[in-house]
Amino acid sequence: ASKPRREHYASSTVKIYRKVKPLPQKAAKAKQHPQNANVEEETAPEYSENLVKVQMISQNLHRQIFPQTSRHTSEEQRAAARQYKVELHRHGVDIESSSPIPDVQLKLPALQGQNIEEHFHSIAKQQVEPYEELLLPLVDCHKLPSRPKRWAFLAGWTAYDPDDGTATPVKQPLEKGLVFDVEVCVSAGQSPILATAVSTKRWYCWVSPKLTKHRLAVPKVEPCDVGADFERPHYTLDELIPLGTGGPGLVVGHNVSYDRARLREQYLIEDSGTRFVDTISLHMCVSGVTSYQRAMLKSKKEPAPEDLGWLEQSSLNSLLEVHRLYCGGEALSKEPRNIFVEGTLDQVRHNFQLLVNYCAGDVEATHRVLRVLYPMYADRFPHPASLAGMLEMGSAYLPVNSNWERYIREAQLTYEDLSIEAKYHLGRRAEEACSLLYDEQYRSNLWLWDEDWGVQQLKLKQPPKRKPLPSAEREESDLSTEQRRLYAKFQHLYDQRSLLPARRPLLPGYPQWYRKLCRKPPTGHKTDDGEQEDEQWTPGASEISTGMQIAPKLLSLCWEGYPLHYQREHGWGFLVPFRSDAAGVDRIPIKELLERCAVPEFARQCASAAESDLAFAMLPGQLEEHLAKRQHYKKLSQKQQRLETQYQGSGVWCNQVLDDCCFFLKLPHKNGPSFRVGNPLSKDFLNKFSDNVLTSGDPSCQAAARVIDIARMMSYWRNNRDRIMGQMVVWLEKEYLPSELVVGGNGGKSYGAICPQVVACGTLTRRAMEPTWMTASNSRPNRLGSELRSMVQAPPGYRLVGADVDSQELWIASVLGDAYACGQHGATPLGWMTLSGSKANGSDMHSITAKAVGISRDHAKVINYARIYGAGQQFAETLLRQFNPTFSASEAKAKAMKMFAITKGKRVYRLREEFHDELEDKAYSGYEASRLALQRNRTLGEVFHRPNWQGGTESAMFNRLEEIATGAQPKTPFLGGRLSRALESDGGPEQEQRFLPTRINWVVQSGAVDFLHLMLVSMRWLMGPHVRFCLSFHDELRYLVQEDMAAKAALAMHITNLLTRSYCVSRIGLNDLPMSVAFFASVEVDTVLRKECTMDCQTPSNPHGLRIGYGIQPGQSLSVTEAINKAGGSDVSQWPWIRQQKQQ
Amino acid sequence: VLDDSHVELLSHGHAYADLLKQQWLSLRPLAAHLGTSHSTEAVSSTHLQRFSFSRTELFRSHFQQLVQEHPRKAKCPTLLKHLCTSYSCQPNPFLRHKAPVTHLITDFLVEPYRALEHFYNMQRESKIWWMRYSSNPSRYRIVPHELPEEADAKDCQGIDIISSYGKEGRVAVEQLSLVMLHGDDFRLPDARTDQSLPPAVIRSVIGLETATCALLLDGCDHGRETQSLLLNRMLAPYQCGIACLEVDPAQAGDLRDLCLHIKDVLQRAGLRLCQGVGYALSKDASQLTEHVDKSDMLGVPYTLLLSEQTLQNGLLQLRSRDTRLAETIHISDVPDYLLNIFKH
Repeated sequence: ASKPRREHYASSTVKIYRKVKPLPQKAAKAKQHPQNANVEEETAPEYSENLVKVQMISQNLHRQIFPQTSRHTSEEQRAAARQYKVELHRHGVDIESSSPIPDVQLKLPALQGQNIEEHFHSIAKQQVEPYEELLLPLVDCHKLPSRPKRWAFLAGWTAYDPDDGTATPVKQPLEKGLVFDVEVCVSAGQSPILATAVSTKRWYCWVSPKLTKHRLAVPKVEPCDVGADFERPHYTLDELIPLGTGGPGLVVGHNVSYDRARLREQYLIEDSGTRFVDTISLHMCVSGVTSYQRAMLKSKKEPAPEDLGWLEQSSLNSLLEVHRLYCGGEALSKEPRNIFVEGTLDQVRHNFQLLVNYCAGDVEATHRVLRVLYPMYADRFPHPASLAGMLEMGSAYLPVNSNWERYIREAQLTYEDLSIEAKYHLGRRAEEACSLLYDEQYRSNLWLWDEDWGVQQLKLKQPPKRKPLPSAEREESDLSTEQRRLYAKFQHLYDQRSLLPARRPLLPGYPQWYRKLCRKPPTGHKTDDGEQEDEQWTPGASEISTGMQIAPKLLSLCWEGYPLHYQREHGWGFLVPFRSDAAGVDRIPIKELLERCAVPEFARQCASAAESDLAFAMLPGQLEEHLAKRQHYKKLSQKQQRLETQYQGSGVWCNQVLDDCCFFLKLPHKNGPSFRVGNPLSKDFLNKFSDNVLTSGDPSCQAAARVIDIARMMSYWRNNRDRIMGQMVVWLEKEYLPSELVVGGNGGKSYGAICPQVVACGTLTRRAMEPTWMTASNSRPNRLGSELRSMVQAPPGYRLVGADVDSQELWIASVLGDAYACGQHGATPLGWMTLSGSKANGSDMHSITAKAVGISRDHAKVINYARIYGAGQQFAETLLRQFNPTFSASEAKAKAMKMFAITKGKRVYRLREEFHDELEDKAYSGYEASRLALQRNRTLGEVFHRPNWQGGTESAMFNRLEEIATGAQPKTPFLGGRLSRALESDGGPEQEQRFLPTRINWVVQSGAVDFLHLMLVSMRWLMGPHVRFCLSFHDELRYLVQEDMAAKAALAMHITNLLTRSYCVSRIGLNDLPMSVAFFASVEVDTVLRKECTMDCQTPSNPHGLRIGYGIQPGQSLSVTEAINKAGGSDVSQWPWIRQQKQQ
Repeated sequence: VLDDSHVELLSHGHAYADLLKQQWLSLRPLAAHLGTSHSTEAVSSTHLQRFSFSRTELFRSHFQQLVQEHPRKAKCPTLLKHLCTSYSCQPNPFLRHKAPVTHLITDFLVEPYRALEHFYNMQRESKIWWMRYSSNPSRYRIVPHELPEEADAKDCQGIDIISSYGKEGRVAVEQLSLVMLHGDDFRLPDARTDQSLPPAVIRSVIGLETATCALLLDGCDHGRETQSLLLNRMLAPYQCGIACLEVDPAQAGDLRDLCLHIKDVLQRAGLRLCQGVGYALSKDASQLTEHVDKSDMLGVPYTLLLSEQTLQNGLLQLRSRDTRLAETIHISDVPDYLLNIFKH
């Protein structure tokens, strides 16, 4: 079908879009579902493509979304397209290779406004309006009502008259717009103790009945059954602060999600309509910093001159610091806070007036910050969708049930079981190692040679010369004569007990290192009183644990084949021999070392697929740190060079030679070469490297492999359990549950919810931050407790509906390049690969780079993303070596260089116009350019324009990103949000260069945040009150929906994707949308939160999986076509609430 | 090992099995113990019976016995224990003990709405129980048992606790099955709410002889250079040995008396000693080593080593099978020090 069409391009001026025959399977489907017939005009499926053969959305959709632009191509465009095709072909893209996607027929609700851009502006405006009406009076309020002189010690809410300070108990604050702050007494649990709020009219104070309890009779609540075996805190609605439901409400606070988690109505399944404005989020948007800058802010050191500029523009996040930055004046007093942190309820009671005043002081400070900060925010983020998205992000809601407690219980038990198992293995290994004492065999053991093998002896004191020894007594009863005789015969031996040393040595005859692992046995066996405390005593190495220094040695661990060794100064490392004779070597068992290490094992290893996954998951964090740091390069010492020829693994050189026979190399630490590894069995460490790098040097010892496995399994829970167990779950009593849940007989189940404490814009890029849920990994079979997310479970009758935006950031980056360089989707190689490339036929970006450079696709993927996020060639080199320890430094460098040349392209310089007379106007390389500038005694920037990338698949994208990033006031491409003041350079080109990678990264990531905010707005528009926002993390979005609305919500998700992408492309000057990105690949309709609806989340703590272990069935995964069918047809404009909206 | 890959325990093995049975009896001490029965029918030789035991006469009579003889225990959750000798053995291709065999059966009657939770707890508890007796706790795994087609997954589930040896060897040491009861035949009050309901039954079946063989095998399969039999010290049929090195014939009599004395002290303390005279005399070091090696192979965890010096000052050596080192203790530490070791 391609040949004649290609000729069309050359000659025809009209026919590029055309109808093709309906796909047979599609036609059959339409027949099966006669309800589809109610679409007003049944149009035949169609196929459209653009000039570079990227399939576009069909005419029926195009008409609805881009109503004012017709699809028309000019002669110039076609001429340009020929150029693009040549370029595509040069980069190995075969534009004929893609296969068509079936058409989708939809009738969308009418856009609100002339075009898609107006549409989003107007619906976002509508959504934020009710909240702005509450917020703006607070912002404009010059003078808050005056604080009452005295606070009433009454449980519940009290309102204070602004004039005379009269206290009146109220059910809840009378106004809907409040600045609010909650205080918690840490020793009494997480529930609120007191709170103050102020509206433009008056002050309020809330006091917990817990505090006034000695006066009030508080009915004791019977806890729901959530596993009584564990002493876990149990929160109910009655402990929380009521704000009332009904209609929009707005609460302003500093880190307001913390306060929100203590508001009663937030836990109800029905959304209360209250939204939250967080001054931390506003502050991050206006003055956010990179992690490097944060470290600088925290450090006590005198700042470097180049840092002074941005230091004035930002601060850390605490209210104290933020207030100082925006309001100046006297520092806030934070001293009373300590009573809340360390004190008891009684102390709070005694200092009641002081503490309420402190709390009210924070409210006032928050208000002052808001007054300054909000206008700045509104100015820098002009689009209403930014605020709308932020409000929505702040209302996350995670429903849970009794399974939550069960999960914690099982994870904790499994954790304990595994630690016991690991400990047992270590104990066994220790026992076994003891026998090395014979004939000093330990001297030739590669791990234990440097332990303390000293042995103590049990010696008797000299008997007193004249006095007889005191006679040892014994209760004797019913002994036979013979027994009596023997006792008498050996009585003198028993008598010598008094000659034993008063402090008996532990285990005389055993080596010192082993004795350190043992405990003294209990004395006085006969008395049963000591039973309790002695119960724990067991003979043998009972004190051993995987965290001890001896553990890796007992397991004979090797790194890349070399035995591990510990040095106090450098932490854990390993020994690499450099001499082949043993003469004069005293302690190190060099002979054995040479035998073992003659053929380095590591030479055969290569990173596994699982490892690429992990590297991929860790990439954003790693990069963030990497980008902001300035790297130092050191000269190689001679010794080090000698090593480099011999050893090419990942160990870190630290200039240590032991016994003049081997090098000591440090194990690599995730935070960089200057850190020391304290425990090779710890989390970050184990995850970073493939299974083969850290192994046991004793292949017969299965215990070592098992202990490493166990350490891997336990790490996730160990690092997260405090946060997970600290989640504030509020359990709902029967009367607060929807009647369906109570009537149906819930089988002893309890229901509750978590309000995750999200900072809606918590990073420089305005991404949301939350420590537990937003970093939660997907479940992995070998990670204990990693089924965490699937423990968010919709109550019966509800569904969780959501999707992941397919390769969101890649698309954003590539479409920016496409629009900028060609004005055509898919016209740059990166664009085409993103839109039409497929993994199956090797035409996607990762396959193509992998092929070109000669590495695996998985590795290419990680490195590709790293590059698009702004990482340089150096970082790619590091990754390459991490994945392939066999690559030498030069090999890795060559590969990284080649990859960058293919993708990013060459950096070229163009002369400024004033030099055209003296020099040829052509592309100069960096070297040539600096030489020419030097010859003229000028700076590079004076002679040349800003350099450009040329000739790579991604050159267009990088040129566009750099153009945005180097602007004086960089703005996100979609919603026009500005970069943080802390990174807006006014410090000249050097400053600009310094933060450039971070800024480039910001363009894409902050663009992705815009994208998310737009989706939130669109979903709200399409579904109105029928969905409740649940959680969003990066490119993932989930809603809680009633079951009968689930299919409609799924379809709304698909349409949201279509409209959001259309908006984005329209903003950057394109008026069409490729079919491949128009809809989600699938929308998940599920009962639990998980990546894919069929994931069974088997982990060590959930060995039977969700289906068998928890009785949770797989969910559904709906493509757009399926969603249309299930949602009752393709005419969305007929949904009742949308029709209603239209009528209004 | 007999023909047909059948195995049979000899006297040492039976002693070991007996100790295992004792441990089983003291596990979950609140259970109502219902004695021993003899059964001609296979306990679970076919898939179906593993889940249909509730329809047997035996189960019915046990249930009656519980309600009548232990009225205070007749509430959910509760436990029943009984032994059953049988002539048919569970299918186990790797280890097959000669008939008759003993089954240790625990029935756990629980609230039906928490059945799964109890079931998983019990799996974990049982697995740990086995792990505690093992020389290598990692060899135990919980393996789901495939349900027969006619069984409804909502009503029954089963798992085996498998002990593995090398790549091939697998022995199911314990079977756990969950069966939901329906109807009015069996009803028990819920201990919490007092509401009467048909309980769910979690049945654990341990083939005593098979399990004993599995544990013995476990003791040999440790990958150490020595040939020690690493039996758990609580279960070891012989906990302690006494060995003595006599060089000077003049002191032979005294040493023998000392051995006898210590043997007597240990026995009265309730420690299990090697059979026979209970102590061994060696003429020289190599003979002593030989003896100690033999004790290791028998799985004796500790050996007390006496020498002529002991006659002077009462110091003797407590040699451990596992570390192969000896610590010096004083005669007055015997038997308390040893009791401490075996108590924990």
